[in-house]
Amino acid sequence: MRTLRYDVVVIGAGLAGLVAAARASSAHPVATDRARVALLARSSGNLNLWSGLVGAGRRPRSRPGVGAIEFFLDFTARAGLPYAGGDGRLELFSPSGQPVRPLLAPATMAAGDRVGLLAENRRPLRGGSSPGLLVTGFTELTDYPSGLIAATITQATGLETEHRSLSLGPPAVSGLAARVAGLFDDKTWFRDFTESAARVLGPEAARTGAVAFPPALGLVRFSENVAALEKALRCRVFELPALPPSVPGQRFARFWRHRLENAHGVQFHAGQVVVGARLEDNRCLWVEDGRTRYEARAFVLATGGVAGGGLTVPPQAFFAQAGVAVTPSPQRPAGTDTRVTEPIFGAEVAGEGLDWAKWGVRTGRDGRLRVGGRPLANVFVAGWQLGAAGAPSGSERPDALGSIESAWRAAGEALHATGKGGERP
Amino acid sequence: MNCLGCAACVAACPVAASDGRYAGPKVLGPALERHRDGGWPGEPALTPAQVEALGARLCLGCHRCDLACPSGIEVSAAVRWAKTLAASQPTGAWQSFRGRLLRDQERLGRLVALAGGTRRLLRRVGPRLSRRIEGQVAGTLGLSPYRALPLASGPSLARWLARTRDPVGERGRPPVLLFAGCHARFHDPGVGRDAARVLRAAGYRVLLPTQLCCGSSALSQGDEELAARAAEANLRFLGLASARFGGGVPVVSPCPSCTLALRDTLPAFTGSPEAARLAEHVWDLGEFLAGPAREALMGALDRVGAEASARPVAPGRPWLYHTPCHLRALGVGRPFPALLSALAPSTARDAGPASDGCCGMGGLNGLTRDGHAASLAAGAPVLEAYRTLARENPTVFSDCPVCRWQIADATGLPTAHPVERLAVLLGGCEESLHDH
Repeated sequence: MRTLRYDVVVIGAGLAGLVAAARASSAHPVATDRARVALLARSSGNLNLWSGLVGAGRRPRSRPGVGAIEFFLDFTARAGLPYAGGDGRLELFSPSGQPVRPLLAPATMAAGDRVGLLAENRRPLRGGSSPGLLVTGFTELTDYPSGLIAATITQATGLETEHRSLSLGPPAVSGLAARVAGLFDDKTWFRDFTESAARVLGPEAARTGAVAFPPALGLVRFSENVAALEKALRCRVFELPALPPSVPGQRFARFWRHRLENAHGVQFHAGQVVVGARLEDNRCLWVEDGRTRYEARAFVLATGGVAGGGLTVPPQAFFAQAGVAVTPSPQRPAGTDTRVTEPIFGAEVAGEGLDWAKWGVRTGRDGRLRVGGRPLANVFVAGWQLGAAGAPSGSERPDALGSIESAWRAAGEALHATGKGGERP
Repeated sequence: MNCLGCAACVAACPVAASDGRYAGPKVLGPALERHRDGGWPGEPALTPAQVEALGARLCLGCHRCDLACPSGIEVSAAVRWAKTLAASQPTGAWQSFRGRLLRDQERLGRLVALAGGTRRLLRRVGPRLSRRIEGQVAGTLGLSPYRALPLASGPSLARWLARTRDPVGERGRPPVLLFAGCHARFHDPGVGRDAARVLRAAGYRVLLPTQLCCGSSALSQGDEELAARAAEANLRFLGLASARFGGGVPVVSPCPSCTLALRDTLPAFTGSPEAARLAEHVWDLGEFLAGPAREALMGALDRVGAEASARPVAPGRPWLYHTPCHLRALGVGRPFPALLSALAPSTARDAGPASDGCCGMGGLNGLTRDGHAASLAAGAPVLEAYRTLARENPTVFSDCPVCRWQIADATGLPTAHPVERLAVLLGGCEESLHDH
């Protein structure tokens, strides 16, 4: 079997997997060289379903949490996808127009801060007493109900709203947000769009001083586009969050991967499902995808819970017994389901009460997997795989903030296990 | 199939984003499930004309939909079913000959190689006239007149390997089988020669077994019969060559599309256990050099280190790396940029996240008269990202021959296979990095 060697192998390419890979591959002041990091993933993660907002109504609970947020803000800015917030003061809108208080938000959304919108000395839209907001939709983007959003915002916040629907014109695109966003990356088309938007919205936009757009102003050129629209409309321009499939989530996957590959040398082994592993003396020596074996000194498990799909496991196998080599499952035939319907880590780890059914693996009080009564020394769990253990009370799995925090911590512990920095678990 | 209908595949598809005629991977893949394989009870069978109308044949075969799917569905295999159905429409004799030529790289390659002498002579007599004649011939064959077919230079790969062999020195060295691919065998033997040079420098004995086109273009054009025949023949040839050394000899290819076909697509398509066994020993060249051959390669580079800095191919020349879709589909990471960055970190350039897309060429699709404009449209975001770096004129490295072709044609930037840079650094390279 082909064998590849790394310092840290991260399994999973969702939010937790990307954050873990970012920290594990960051240069550490104490270590002499960067850890060699691989990321194994079946697909592009589920970021497609993520609005892009982090930690609605929550603040990091502990100091490591603060470190994780600082790290996240720094990395994502370097990746070209700046986020704002971190101080608990952001007040934005949900995809339905309801008020939410996320801890962090993409910069293109953070400009739509409610407090800012209300405090600014802007003239009302229709001669009323409160400041106005122009909510625009696109005729072709049929699943973005700008009228409903505008009405909800008015009802919930008292901001006076109007909604306008702009046609994207030829070339006609279907109602998919990603395709609309792709259109906004075309510079020539965007110049024409800006001109027509200025013509249609210009006077009203200048009067209300703020225009909200669907989060589809480009897959790549969104920052430039928001700036250009602000200049053309002479007012504040921002994106509202929307229901999935989410362009901000797709941007995130794309920009983080690009930065990880190009500046951190992280190797993305895409399309790979882990089907086996080798444990010895409570250490994991390697995992395999049926074709290639990935040896590493530490592993981060960020596969998004049992339904995440980064692991596929024959019922009798995988980590079941320490020291026993696992029989890899036969290569899956094309088009078959690979979702796990059996406990991942054997009865002992999963527990009698079938905790795995609550979306994740059961860990000990130290947050570690246990095999043979002892914690695994070099496998660290992050994100949804933690299930209720990593979740805010009352939830069955971590939110985006929990994924970032747990991934940051897991990567730090993994780095420590490789001797290249990080901190002791 | 567990399609959620999330459309992540559509968002990842370069054709859906650029061509209104294409119904997209979700419709042509999972949504047609009820009509596939005889169809569900009560569902009508589809006709070739129906899938043709959905634009089935516009799929470039980039596999990006597979990598995007959160449910692990191999969307591209399902779309290929629709493509094959569309391709089963009867056509006239001339059209069918032309179609055959385009999906049979072996035949096209031999034809182009055969015409090499005449073309060279024509170019010497009258460069402009030769261009016009070549354009005419290409147009008649269904190729785009805007694409210049490459003209192979230097000795053929087989001849060069035989001539430069060191029968005594290579005794006892571990063997590798070089699966060069049609491009290196017929159009650009320089890449094959450099792959062999670098593998030899890393201490391997390089063998060129008898081989045919891997069959990926046949499969991508919906000719399953031709693909199956190619797979069977290559399996036999590679099996025989490997058996001479007791089996298990690594098969290494500088072309990610060949590697993907030998390792993933054809074993799944043919379902043959021998193909699956062979697949275990198939390596992408970069993966092999960055994996098992890494230490020996770095040692060889260290030995010539002092010399390399004095070479005319300035280490200071800016470069960037374009990731071929089929390398992504292989899931081997990006081994070459990691190697090149270790050797020349400060000259690496970055064209930003837009350049992570598909170049639009899609194997032979972009070479044809009908597919040329669509291929430029599908690759527009990537090509535009590279054009913004034109002032620096960086060399664009890519393992995939048709990516290099598209990028060179559309941006004017010099392109090369990354192994060519390694060969230059190792010394003993007779040609400098060349434009396509």
